[in-house]
Amino acid sequence: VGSLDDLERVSRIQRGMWVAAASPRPAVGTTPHEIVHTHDKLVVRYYARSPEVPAASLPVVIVPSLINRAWICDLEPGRSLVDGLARLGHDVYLVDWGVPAEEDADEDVGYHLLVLLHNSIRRIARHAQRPGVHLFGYCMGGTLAAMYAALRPALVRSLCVLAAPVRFSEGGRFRELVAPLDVDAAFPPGSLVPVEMMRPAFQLLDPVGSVTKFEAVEQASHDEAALRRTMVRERWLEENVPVSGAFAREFIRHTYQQDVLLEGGWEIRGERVDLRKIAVPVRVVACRRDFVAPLAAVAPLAEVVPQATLEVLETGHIGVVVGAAGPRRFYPLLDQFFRETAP
Amino acid sequence: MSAHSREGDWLKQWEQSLAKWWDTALEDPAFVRGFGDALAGRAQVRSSWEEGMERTLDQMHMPSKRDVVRLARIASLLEDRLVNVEEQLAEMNTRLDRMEKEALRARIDSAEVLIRLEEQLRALHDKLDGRPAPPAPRSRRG
Repeated sequence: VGSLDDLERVSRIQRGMWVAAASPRPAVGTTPHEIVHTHDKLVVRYYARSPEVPAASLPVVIVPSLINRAWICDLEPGRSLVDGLARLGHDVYLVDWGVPAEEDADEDVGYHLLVLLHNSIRRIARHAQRPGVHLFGYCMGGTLAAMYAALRPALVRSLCVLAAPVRFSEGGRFRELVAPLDVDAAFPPGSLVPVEMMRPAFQLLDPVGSVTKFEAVEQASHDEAALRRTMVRERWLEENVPVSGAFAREFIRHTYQQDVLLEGGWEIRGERVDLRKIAVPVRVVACRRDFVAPLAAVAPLAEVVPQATLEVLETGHIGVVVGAAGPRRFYPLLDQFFRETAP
Repeated sequence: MSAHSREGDWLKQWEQSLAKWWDTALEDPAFVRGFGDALAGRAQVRSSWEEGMERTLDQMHMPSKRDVVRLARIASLLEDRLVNVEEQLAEMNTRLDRMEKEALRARIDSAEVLIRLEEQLRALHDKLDGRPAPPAPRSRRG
């Protein structure tokens, strides 16, 4: 009986693979918005708050990871972080890093933080006509947002980071994969980190899951809405963004290889990044079932920042934003934190 | 062993053994080095290919990818400067707005002071008009 069940499961996985290969990928990033700033490949998208609820006093700036498309924060109606926050009364600005090309290969972490992000936040504050912003960073975007809050605190009124690693020696499998890498040889000057190497690297983090997930695809194929939801998630996993070689060399060296961020051992263009100096309220959100940014790699930020609190959610790295936990648990949590910390 | 406990047996075993194998593989420096070597090798192949293309296009007096990248970088740098100028102008505008508001406030304040002074002066005049004329000042020489 057991073997028959196994065969049936294998067959379902096989059918799921066919379904995944043949199904069209749904449109993403469809929430109406306005582009308020462009610089290099970066675009800042503005999502106006709903007039039906009391307005929050400061805008929320969302900083996603550089290796994902920014539309992961706007996957589809009902599972969109930007739309969820706008419906709760927040003016939302999404920092879309864009897709770098070869001419951007020498743009380092300093350029991304002190030029691109800094100009964006200044522009956002002016556009919103507010004296400051709430900063929210997701994954690597959270690590960058925390670094920015430490380096350029003038306009930051509060900071929330989700699944943002800071203690990289606890970085799990991803660390095991990249820590021994000769970054100078792998990403030489003038090169980008190729997406065709990124996807297998992420699949290697969960090799079993990257096969058995097709069982869920097959199950979803019996319901149009469920299939659409599953395919949207596939797009997230399929569409990585290349990263400039200079950024990758600097980031991997200081994080997964030397792990010096928490100790203040990282200098960005001559300025030491001292996360302990962050003087605004900080909420650190970690996910217990996250193997990209494990709890042990995320939680230490709450220990070093004076006004930080830690929230642990029982979800995974992606589910926290787009799963049922997003609208039910995570968006209200953000809303509450930003309203409480508004001056 | 019941039929229920056997359910999914070998697939689960496969999952477990794959996960275990992967854990072992990651602990093996040679395996992880292989991943790094693949990346480095790819970068090297790409670099050699681009060198070759560069030389060929150069011989044909045609613009190469490197030329396009160089131009795009210059455009990018120019854009950085323009954004900086824009930022400075915006800051200057903010400062001018503030100064304008402060100047307006100061003008309103001084106008209000002037009005108050005029009122006081008028009141003083009224008082003076209602009184008998003061005695003429005596000569100091006496």
